[in-house]
Amino acid sequence: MVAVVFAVIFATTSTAAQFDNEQRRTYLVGVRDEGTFVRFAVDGTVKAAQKPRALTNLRILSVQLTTEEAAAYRADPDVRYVQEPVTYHPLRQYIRRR
Amino acid sequence: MKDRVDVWQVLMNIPVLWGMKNPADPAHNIDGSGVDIVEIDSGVITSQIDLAGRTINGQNLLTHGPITDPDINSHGTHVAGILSAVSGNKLGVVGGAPGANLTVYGVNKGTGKELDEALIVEAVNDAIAIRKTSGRPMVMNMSFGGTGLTQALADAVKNAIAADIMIFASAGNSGDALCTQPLEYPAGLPGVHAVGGLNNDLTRNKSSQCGAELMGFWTATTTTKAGDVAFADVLTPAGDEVFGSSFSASNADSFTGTVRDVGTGLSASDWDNCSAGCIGLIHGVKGADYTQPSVIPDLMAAAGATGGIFVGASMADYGPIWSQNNPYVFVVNYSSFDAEHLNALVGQTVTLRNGTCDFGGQGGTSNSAPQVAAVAALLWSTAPTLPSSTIGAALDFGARHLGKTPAYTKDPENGWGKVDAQASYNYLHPPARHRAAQH
Repeated sequence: MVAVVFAVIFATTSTAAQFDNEQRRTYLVGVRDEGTFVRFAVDGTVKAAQKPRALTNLRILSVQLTTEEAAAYRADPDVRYVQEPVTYHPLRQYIRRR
Repeated sequence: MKDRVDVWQVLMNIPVLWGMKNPADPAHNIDGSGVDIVEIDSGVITSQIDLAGRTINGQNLLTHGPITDPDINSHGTHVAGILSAVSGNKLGVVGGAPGANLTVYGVNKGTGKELDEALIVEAVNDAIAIRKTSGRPMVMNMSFGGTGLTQALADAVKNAIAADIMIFASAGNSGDALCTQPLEYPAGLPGVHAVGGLNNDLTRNKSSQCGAELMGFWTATTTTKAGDVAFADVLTPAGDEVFGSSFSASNADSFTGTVRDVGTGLSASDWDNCSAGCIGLIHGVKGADYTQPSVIPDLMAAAGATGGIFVGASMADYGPIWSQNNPYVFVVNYSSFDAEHLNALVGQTVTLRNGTCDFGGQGGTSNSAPQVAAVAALLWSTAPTLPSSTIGAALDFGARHLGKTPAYTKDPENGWGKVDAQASYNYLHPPARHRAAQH
């Protein structure tokens, strides 16, 4: 299974350039199983560093998708949600200077 | 000199723990050893002089490169210093848990002013994997906030808590006097230990959100990038640097003299024993008349004094003389400086020198969360087999109640109150007389 995943990731890397990255945005995707992850990977968008780990039943991935792809994944029964990330700010108010 | 113990550390009774043997490792004192601290922030400058002596793991998730990539914001470097700056190197500050294993994830969006939620989630996932592999206790610090939230971050945090990771997050810097502003996220998520900020007089800083579980302190002296803060060095004859974050340099580049106590410095007689070659240690007094720009400089000139160190306890004390940009006087904010160091200068020949330094005073609940996270790491290192919920209970019940609600209740403004490392330690390790009473 590990070999399959790595093979998929390798294929992903080599084909990613074919996608129009201008149209892609980052989405946070909650998926239920590794099979879902493999489908994402086949679509050429999951980075190796973001590969899911066997942690919990729900995995949260950061994925580059087009709007259409995001809509399609939302309809996938194994996908719990597809969301655009929000922004946070470091909570430093000031640093004292002379 | 020794590393500087900061005011927040004293007010939270942290040095008491540093001075005790660790019951889980009696050969060593309590310093957080054996506990992983994960910091999710803008990154860290690993070459910062008070961090360079320690191992820092982690990753810059924007580039998926090493954590040694620059922390262009320097916020994460500040937080890293509060958590775990090197102890015993005679430099700058001491981290709250200097012996803990520090892992930093840089999650900048690129400019350093904003943090990317997708990268935050990735960092949390990575930390969970480390926790599950290592089995070591893990404390996670999130000194950031926002009003938005996705289910993804909520789920990632939930997974981390399920893995028995303690998460501390800043309450937010948008508070007000009437407590109308809710906790920001991720502090507002269930299971996250939200931390608000107190002033040194134990009142809530009004810019800190209400509703936090625990209270740390609003300000801290922290590590920052090289030369980031204008500063005045005080060098002793032995060449030791007396460090004070709030020194304000005078117009003079430097001067050397023997320090004499001149009281308030407001009358000519105060300067009787301070003439050529003397630097007067001037004690600021709230409400004293420093509005006449020439008072102290004229008295100093008449006495022939070489210079002065003006020590104020609050802006009301030192503000007026500071604003004069006095050519002879270096100004110190007493409240954030170790009084022992200043008094020890009397009778010594010192050199005061303008310069820049790698440490600075910082305000905000970004400071409060890592202060409490460091205490959690200290406590957990003394009882590493206990679950995080017990460490959390020790923090809550050891805290000094500050609100108007009855003791041992959670106050809507200040939560369980000011964290007290010693009291929480006693909760985990009851003194012998308490144990005997239980039998």
